[in-house]
Order: sequence, then C-alpha cells, then structure tokens
Amino acid sequence: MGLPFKESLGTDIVAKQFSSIQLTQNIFNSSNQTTPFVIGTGQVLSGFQSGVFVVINENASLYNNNGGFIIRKKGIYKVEFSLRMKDSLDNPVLVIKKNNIDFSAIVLACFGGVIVGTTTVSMTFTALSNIVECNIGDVITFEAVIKSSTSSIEGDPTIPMSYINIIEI
Amino acid sequence: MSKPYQTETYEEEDDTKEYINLFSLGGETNLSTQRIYIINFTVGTDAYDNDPQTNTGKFTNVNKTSSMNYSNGIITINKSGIYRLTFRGLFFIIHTKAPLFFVKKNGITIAEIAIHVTRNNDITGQLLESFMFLSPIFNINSGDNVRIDVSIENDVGYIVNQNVFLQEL
Repeated sequence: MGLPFKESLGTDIVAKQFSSIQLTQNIFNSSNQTTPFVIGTGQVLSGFQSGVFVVINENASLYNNNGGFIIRKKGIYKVEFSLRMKDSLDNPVLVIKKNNIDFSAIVLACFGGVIVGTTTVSMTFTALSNIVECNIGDVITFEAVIKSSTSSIEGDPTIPMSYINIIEI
Repeated sequence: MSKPYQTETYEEEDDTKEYINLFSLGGETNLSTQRIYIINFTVGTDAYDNDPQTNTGKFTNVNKTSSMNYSNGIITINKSGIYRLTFRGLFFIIHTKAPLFFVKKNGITIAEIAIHVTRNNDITGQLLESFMFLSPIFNINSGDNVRIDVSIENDVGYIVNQNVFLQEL
C-alpha cells in the first residue's frame, strides 16, 4: 500500500492565510431600487458608488479589485467587518457569498447620535461572518442591499475607518 | 490493557504565540470625563491622575506572555509577527455622542472607531450595553508599541469593564 499523499498547491503554503482591506470610497445608492450589488468593484454612476478597497496587509495575494477574495489555500475561514455607517435610517444588508452562493448575511446598523466633535450621525458597526470552508480558487464576495432610505458605508483613503479582515482559522 | 494508538498525525502547533490581556473591572476604573470640551488621551494613562473630572480607564489586571510589556497605557511587543487587537467594554448610556477610539501603532493610527449603542435598558432597568471593536490585522516588528487613544467629553458617557486583547495570529 502506498503512502498517503499530501494535498499540494505546487508551492508550499504553510502559514495561516489572512488579508485586511480598507475601504477608500463611500458606498451608497441614492436610488429607491433595492437591486443588490457587489461592493468594492469601483463602479461609479450618478447617485451610486460600489466603493473601492485597498489591501493594507496580507500574507498572500488574496484580494482582487473586482471586490472579491480568491482563496489560495484550502481551509476554514471567517470574515470580520468593521464598517463606519452614516445616518440612522433603515438598515442595509450585507450578504457574504462563496462562489456566488450565500453563506452569511449581516444587517448593518447605525444608531442615532453624532460622533464627538462632529455633527455627523455616524458609528462603527462590527460584525463577524459565519465560518466557511473553502477550497483553492474559491471566491468570496460581498453583496450589499442599499438604497436611498438606508445608511451608507463610509470609506476614506487616509483614515482607516472601514475595513474587512479575512482569516483562516 | 493495550495502550490507545494514534490514527492521525497533526502538524505541531505553534505554541509560542504572544498575547496581552488587559482588564479594568468595576466602576473605579471607568473611562469618562466631566469636562464639557473634548479631551484626547491614551486609555489607561496616568496623565490625568490629578484631574478629579477624568478617569482614563486604568487597567487593573494585566496577563501577558513574555514578549509583551505594558506600562502607562502603552503596550510594547518584543516579537515580530502578525497581530490583531480586540476591545470590549460596557457602556453606561447617559450620553448622546459617540466616543472616538484610535488604535495606534508607533503613534500612527491604524483604526478609527466610533462607538454608539442603543441606549436601551438591560433587564434590571439600567441603561447598560456591551460593545466591542476589532483592529485590522497588522504587522509588528520587535520593539513596536501599540496604544488606544480616545476622544471624549462629558456627553459621551461612562465606559466600564474595559478589556484589551492583543494577540499574535
């Protein structure tokens, strides 16, 4: 009987995979339509913006600029969200997908009240995704359901106020 | 009786991961000010010891591994690696404005977090609510330091039972 073989990528990736990305543009939709859209694609239309993320730290190239993480190592992952929400209207929804299939959904919230020193009704919303098992090549994306009556998500190129971590656990 | 035998083998766990766990328990170590204008300080610092209007949330319990040091609000790390910080606390909700927290590495802001809570009562009728936030994942080089700065005024309320957990991933 032969020895059991070890699954391999062709290159040895031993370290736990992780990536942190920072939102550099606001995400909003001024329309009353609730058509979901993938965030982080850089799409800009009149009254609409899907936002742009930049990588701030990772140990392998996981994030691509179409708004998704491409998994480079088989494993179990979780996603952490720290999002600065603006205004306190209805709550938008963020759906997290693996290969375009939902595996987690988060209702984002912004309670009424300004940030100290400002007149802006805004707050940070922190959430964790469900745990998901991934294979090499799987793609994780984030789809938002945001319209004119829901809070927008704030991003800034210099202030790290909204960011997403993906971590192999 | 024969000895149990092992049917699977595992990679040896890295048991050298560093962490520091800082606690402030009880009302005497709350984070608050009665000043009517914004003040900015490092959580846990002794800089306001002579100010009866301000409590900086001093940490009364410090648990840590050998490469971590803590003094006067500053965490110093003597092992390079990938780290992430978690902050937990309770809010006495007699406020209307969100405090701003700044997670800083070597004095540079790596996360800016605004905390709002619902201002609802708990089951005992107290305006009390827990909250938490996460930092992005960030690199540490030996000798780097991490601290949490905060901007508050008297309309921000009291934060108690603060817990800062900085862990190597």
